[in-house]
Amino acid sequence: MADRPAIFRPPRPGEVADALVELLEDTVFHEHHRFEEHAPPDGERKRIDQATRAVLDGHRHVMESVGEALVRAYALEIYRPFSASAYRVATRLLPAAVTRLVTATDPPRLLTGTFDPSRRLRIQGAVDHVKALAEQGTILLVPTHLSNLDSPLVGLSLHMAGLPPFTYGAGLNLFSNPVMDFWMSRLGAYTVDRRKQNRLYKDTLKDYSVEVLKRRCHEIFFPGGTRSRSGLVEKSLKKGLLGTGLTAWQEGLREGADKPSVFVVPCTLSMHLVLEAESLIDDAMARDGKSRFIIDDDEFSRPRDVASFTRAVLNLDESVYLTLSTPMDLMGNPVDDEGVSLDPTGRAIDRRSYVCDRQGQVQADPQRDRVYTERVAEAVVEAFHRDNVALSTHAAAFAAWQVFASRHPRSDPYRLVRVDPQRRMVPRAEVLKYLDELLRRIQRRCERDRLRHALPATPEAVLDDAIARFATFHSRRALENIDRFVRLDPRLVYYYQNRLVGYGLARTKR
Amino acid sequence: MNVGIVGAGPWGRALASLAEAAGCSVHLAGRQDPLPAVAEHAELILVATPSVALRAVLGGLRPGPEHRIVLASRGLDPETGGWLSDVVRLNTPCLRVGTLAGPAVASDVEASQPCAVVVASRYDQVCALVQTALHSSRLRVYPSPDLEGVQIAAAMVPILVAAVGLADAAELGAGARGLVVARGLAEARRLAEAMGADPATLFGLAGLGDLVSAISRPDHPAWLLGCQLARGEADPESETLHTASAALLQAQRLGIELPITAAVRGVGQKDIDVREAVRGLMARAARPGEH
Repeated sequence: MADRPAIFRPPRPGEVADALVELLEDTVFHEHHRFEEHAPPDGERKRIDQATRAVLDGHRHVMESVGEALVRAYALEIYRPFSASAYRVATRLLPAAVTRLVTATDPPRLLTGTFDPSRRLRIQGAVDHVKALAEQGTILLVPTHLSNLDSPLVGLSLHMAGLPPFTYGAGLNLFSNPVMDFWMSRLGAYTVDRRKQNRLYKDTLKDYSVEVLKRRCHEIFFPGGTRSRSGLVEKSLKKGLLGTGLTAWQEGLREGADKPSVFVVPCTLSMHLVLEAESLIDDAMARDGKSRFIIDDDEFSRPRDVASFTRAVLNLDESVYLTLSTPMDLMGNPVDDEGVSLDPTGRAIDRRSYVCDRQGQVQADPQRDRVYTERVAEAVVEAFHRDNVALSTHAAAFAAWQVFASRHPRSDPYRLVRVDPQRRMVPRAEVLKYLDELLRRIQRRCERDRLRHALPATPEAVLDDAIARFATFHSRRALENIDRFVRLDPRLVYYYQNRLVGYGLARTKR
Repeated sequence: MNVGIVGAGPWGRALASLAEAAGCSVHLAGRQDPLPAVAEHAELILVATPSVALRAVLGGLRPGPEHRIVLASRGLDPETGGWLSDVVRLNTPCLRVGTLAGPAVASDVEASQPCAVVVASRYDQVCALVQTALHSSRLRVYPSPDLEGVQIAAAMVPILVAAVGLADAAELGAGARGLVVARGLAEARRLAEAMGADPATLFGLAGLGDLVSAISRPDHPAWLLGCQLARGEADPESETLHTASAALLQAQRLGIELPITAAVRGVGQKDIDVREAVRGLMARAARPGEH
């Protein structure tokens, strides 16, 4: 247990009281700060008031019992009871519900049976590999994060792919709706309150994740921490929860557990359209204040928008791509179907040697584990970029944005999104010319295994497909044809083109 | 502790004597010795061979996840211009890598003269193991987390020492020495910043400390190389010239200039003579900003 987050360390002369006081002071400080922004329920305020008094009075036994009460309260909030029967019912009903939602706008399709949900969600990559590993150990699935719909989407996709249920952390704000609370709780969610910034809460959350993984519950965790505000593929990840896999594995080894291995599976979501695109990019571009970590008034909070978006997305073929990357161990080495780690030459290696001494005893070393976790985070980011799928809306937005930006060479993106509405037109021919070059560059990246694509073959088809898709949902059209011109909404276009940033795809200046 | 040392040259032998004095069981392997035996014997492996031989050494060693490899070699990867530590990481399952650099040389260690080195690794444990194996009243071992910074320092110091040797042999005067040292460190700092290292490391033991020490030694191989460069007698295959090429390759990719390094390489490859090199450096346009 030495390398687990220490909520209460065993006494060490002259040090124990300080560690406990520091922990409680940190909790009191952050929780009071949170209460100033959002009034808490009475129970929460009472516990923090008790902690404040305990720190001021300095009685060790009172501080311990207050601390334990806080941990218990946090743990009870995080935990949600999974229900196998509810999961069975939901997974049986969901495809039919989705079918009904889609065919509500087109009833004959229900009668003719032409609607197949599986055609809307394309699950690709290492699906069989992950299925095999789910038998050998515990899967820690780490997806990119674009929308609040990602959790149900990933859950449905994994179910359709024949994978077992996964537990996942979902924002506490999503549980405020009783119906959502009922279903999400029973389908494997646990709560994550990103407003709680104190160390005691974060350590409780990490301990919960460690226990879940040790009990061989496969887990989904969004390592970016929040939805990508700008539309960029994640470049930096939160290491806290990612590191719980390493802790769970080492504790499993130490305790002689059956199948203690934890495998990390990066999962890249690529969508033609993102429900909350308008709110997210507005937040990302808000220069007059810090972007908000939690947005609770976006499109996801409006049921009509969610329904209309779902219809819009699912009425078009292959709208969402979910790509499972090659599974890896907790140091970032690839693993084979049997769960054996492989070195860069493909040779099988005994990964226990990374954490054990020559006698096979696990050696606690939190600093080493932090570096291993940084390494696995780098490998996950590489996989995200490699398995990102370039789609028509991304490519068309990229080309339109580049042509638009070239006409305002002295403007940065913040100025470009504020260009006068009358000047937001670019010649369609120029966009098509740029797209023609872009498609070739994308093709070259794909051949070198640096990107994936699912693009129509010609520039015209890409642009027309993107314009058709953009017309289906957002309140503003990202791109639309106006005679021989394309009119663009700079914010949305910037958001969608960002999905292809970081690949060196822009035309180089001559 | 079991320590393996690959490379039985003067530096490899000096490291072996330090480790033995510290009570370690040492397996020293020269060019003809079987390398797998080193990996089998040791948990800490010190590689003291030229950087051009690193890939071959790793191929022979076949280290595993349990090993800690510390590079006592200098330079950048001659094939890619990248870090030598990345050559280990990308070709073996060994993750716990470090590097050793600084002003200590074999003759000082043998003569029990006071000297010091830096061991850099992202893993505290690797630094601690090297301190256990080598730190003594004969050699101080300082730990650093800046693996990249120490590698840049170890790569750039011989190039700058060669530039000083060249200036000395060409009798350019004491001012030229100061110029090469200060501006050489400035270009090393630019490269370090661009490659993601901490530029402050260049002004520590592995950078400035090593440079001051090396240019004061008339028998230093890099200083002697500089003298040979001035006479047009240098071996174009020398390790320092390979490192200069690797640094320039990186600089080109990153869009930065390394004029002193370029001059050393240019003279070494006989693209320019010493006078042209000096003229080229002195004719660079005045610029505002840093000095």
